[in-house]
Amino acid sequence: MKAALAYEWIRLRTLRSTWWMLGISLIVTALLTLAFSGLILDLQAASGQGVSGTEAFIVVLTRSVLTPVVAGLIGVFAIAHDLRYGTIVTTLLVTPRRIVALAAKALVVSSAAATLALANLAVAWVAGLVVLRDRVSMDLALYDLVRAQLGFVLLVVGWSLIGLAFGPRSCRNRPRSRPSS
Amino acid sequence: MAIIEAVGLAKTFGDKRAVDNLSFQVRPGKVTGLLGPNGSGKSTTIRLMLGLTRGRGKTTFDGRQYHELECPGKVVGAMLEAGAFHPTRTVRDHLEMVAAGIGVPQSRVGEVLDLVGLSAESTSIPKRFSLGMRQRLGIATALLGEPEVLILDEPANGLDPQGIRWLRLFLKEYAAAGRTVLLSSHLLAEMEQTADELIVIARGRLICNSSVREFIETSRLTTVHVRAKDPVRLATALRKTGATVQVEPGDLLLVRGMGQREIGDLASRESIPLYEITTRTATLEEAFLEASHGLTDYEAQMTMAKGPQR
Repeated sequence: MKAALAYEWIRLRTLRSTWWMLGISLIVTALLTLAFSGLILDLQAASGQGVSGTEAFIVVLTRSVLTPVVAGLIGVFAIAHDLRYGTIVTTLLVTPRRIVALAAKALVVSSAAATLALANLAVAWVAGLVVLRDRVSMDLALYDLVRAQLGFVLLVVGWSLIGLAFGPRSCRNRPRSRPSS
Repeated sequence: MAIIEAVGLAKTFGDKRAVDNLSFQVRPGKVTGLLGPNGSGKSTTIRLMLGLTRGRGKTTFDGRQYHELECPGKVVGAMLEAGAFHPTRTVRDHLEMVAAGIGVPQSRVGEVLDLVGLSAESTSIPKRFSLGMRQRLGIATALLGEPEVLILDEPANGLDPQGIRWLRLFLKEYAAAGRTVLLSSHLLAEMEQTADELIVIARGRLICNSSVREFIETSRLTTVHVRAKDPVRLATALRKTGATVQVEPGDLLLVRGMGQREIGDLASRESIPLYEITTRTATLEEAFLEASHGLTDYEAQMTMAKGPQR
């Protein structure tokens, strides 16, 4: 299993698509958080009130709209690339037990999705606080804060696993290399 | 020293039997060629052997099936499809990925790159590779674990003459070190020079499992050319012993089914002086075409080469 995990990890990190998808999701998260934080700030300024911690938190939590999609794509690519480019043969030669190969894919994809979710949350917090830092009154319990963010991480991991499950379907109509004889 | 033993391999695609109860043995120390016309089931056989396709039968490598091997990549190295790489993953990254998967040190990557002559391309991506370069990368991947068994599907496709020569010498050397080498190929002339043993299949069935020499010698196309003082009498005498005799212009007799020595002895007994007696051995191509005659699924019409018919 350790070798299968190492194989899958290198497979994932040596794909360009992994990195540009991660980069795009972080940029989109940062821009949307900045924009919505600014909007909240303008609306609150008109009423002369401060920004509650709950509001700031909702902005942070909901502006990573692309993150679950990116996680899903990482999951899809984990299987679809193997099928499309014929590297499924290499994967199964390296790890002949299909269940182990699939488990390694699921573990690596889940870990990548969790990291992606945490990175997006961090970027959203930083971007949100850059705009709202002096105006936020922290009225939110730490327990709720952690629970909601953990939920977001689990949601993103779930999307990656759904992507993994849909990977073979996404390749169904693509041309595949067939044995010559 | 790993012996490959395949027993009762079978695979059906719909109504078509791609592999039909195929059993054979591949011994170490020799290069064994897997020959067959297009669609004969060569690649499917290799896939069945490695458990990549579900079917019937069993293949063992020193008594254990591929999925039972503790470190399969260190026992069996295989190349099945030349283009089985992600197009934008660099050569080094691809090899490092496989090295990690089979549990060999990353330093082995540089060694195999040197071995197949791809060191200068280690940071290149396979997207821009020619078929020959892809083959080299596939061979490098198969060699990563320094396996006891090497299974290569059409490894010489797309290689330049230098590459083919390198591959031939390399495989012979690899086998000579006591390892087991099985390769499939359509390049019969190349196979004749590289392989020691042959497994010939057609329509998924075993036609022959013998040495290359034996396969060629038993071909009906191996003939003895005889010129004698009295060809008519000699032909009659030869036919009486069961040989097939064809009389060619210039009193040349083409004899099949009898060796040079037996013909010489017979001529001596019949007191017929001989002027010439030579054996013309069939090439592997001739022997193969004869053995697979009528067993190909895709046979082109030779008349087309003569131009359109009116």
